[in-house]
Amino acid sequence: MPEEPERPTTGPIFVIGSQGSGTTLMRLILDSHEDFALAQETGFMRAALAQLTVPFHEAGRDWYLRLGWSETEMHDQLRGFYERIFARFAASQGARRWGDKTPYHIWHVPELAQIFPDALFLCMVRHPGGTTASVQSRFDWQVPHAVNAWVRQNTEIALRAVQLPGRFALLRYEDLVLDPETSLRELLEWMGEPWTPRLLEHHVVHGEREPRRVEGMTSATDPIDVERIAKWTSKLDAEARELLRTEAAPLARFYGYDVDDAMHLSSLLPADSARRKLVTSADIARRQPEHTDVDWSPRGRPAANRRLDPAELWLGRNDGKKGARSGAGRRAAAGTPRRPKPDKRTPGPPVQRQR
Amino acid sequence: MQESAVLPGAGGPIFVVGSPAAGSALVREALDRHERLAIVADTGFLRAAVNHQWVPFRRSGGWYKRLGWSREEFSTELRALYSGLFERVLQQQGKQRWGDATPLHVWYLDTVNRIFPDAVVVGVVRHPAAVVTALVRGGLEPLPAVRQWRGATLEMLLSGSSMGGRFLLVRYEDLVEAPEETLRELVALLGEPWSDRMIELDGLRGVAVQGGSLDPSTRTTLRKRAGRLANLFGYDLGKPGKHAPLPAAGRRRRVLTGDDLAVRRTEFPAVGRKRPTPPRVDRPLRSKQVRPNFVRGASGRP
Repeated sequence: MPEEPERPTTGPIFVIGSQGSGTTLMRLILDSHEDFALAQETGFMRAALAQLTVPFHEAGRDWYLRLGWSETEMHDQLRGFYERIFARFAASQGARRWGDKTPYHIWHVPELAQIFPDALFLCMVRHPGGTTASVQSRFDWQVPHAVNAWVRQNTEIALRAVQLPGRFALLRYEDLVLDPETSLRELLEWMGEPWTPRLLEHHVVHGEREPRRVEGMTSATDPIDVERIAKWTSKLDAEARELLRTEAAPLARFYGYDVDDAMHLSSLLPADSARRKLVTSADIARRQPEHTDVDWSPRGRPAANRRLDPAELWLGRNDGKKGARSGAGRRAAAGTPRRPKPDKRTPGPPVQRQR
Repeated sequence: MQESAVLPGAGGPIFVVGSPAAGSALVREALDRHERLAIVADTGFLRAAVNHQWVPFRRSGGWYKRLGWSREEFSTELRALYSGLFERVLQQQGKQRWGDATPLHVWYLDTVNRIFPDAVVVGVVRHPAAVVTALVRGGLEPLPAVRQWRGATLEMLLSGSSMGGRFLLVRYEDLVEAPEETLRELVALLGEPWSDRMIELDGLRGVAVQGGSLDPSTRTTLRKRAGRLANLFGYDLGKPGKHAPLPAAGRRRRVLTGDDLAVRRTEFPAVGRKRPTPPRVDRPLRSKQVRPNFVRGASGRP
């Protein structure tokens, strides 16, 4: 197995993963550690990208270059800015190391790694059935959208992981829930941080804090619940399970899952590994060539996570058709979409070019 | 009418704004020739700054508040970030005061006030017939062109008239007809010494004031939608190319302050107080309201 390079032990920690894969649970657990502070989901990288390319402004593509800053220098400026914002938060919590948990930062790993060269990435992966049922019930996502998102996001995770040797680790939600102590001890050791039993008592630690209801409608005071691993089997109908088989099975196998069996969990680590739960970028790199049935071609980023360059994107009204079934989306699902009104100020595609 | 005292914002950054095609580029070039001033063209960075406060395509804004930062504290951090970026231009050019000339920043005057409370905004206005003619030549339909002039100019009027001496209004026609007089008044109000270099600008010489050549239907639209606002700025829509002098305080004849505009507004009550709605891209990018779509044929589309 390839050796892992030395890891940074002072930089920020970014928790990423598909929505519904346990990223909030991991944030709450790490935030219970005396030395870490991970705030509720910020999504700040979309704002950071907006600094590099002013959204929908043709002349804003290279604005900082025109001020005499190189891209690397601009990254340093952004790092300084975000460091101040997050470090003060960490200090206010009595912590010395800050982190952020935003699921869609999956799509921003290259920029995060550039702006924060000492950052570590911790990725949560969960059975596609569990993730699909979770986003379906919590965010009203349609099943095809949820399955497609799981495949795209978890392909991206594997591709990015191998590009960041020594800085990227992965934990499966099921491993964390079934054996939290082993999983978290391995994680802390990988991070170069001391173990604390508070990690196993995150629900007690957060019970003393406000608010109790945090992002994704998660209760911060709920202990780890093993039953959640197989809960999805009673939530997804036959059609949804067939979709899992046709769309997600090869990648699920790569991550050690069986799309038909919630309790099947094969190890991602070689037999001689000292670790039992925590998967590193070297482990992922080793597994990739063994899974030739997975489509490893890079997946394009969703539009919202790209630089909002008017040559590539235009801004439209949200008609709710993307996957969520709330508001306008319900009308769309019912076949009675509201007719979009033409925008009188900025006519539709392509974006009206202004001087 | 009382002359504004020495500007409270003297020394702060300068933002040149206006409707597209109103002449803000010419004002920028003239100011940028000043030995002390470095005015960067068309960055649009305030749109990016607002994205710091409302992360694009999120359901809610104010993420920094969850990290314990107040809006004021966060604005101070943003000021430090952007001032630091612009100061490099000052270092490179050996100048002392930075500025930015982006027409679309007309929609961000609240942001200017919040992040740069010592900034001075220079608003540029031009006869609507000339602006609409230029925009239509650039490919815009007449109605959106009229709306662009009206929206940007009304926003400038309503925001600028509450900014006192920190808002300065320049008419394009005054600038090209009497460049030295107009620029002398402008730099004095900016708290800067006069610089001969400013009027050496080629664009200021021999420019005829264009009235525009609009078809009758566009002219009717313009009169209906922007007639009163044009009158407030001394323009007569029936006589393109003609404009009346605007009453300014003291000895000034060309440049109006926000205080002058506030007085002018009382004389034109029909112009109204309702703020125009910014273009979609200049409102917070709330996920419930907007979403990005791929331009047909864009590279890298998933």
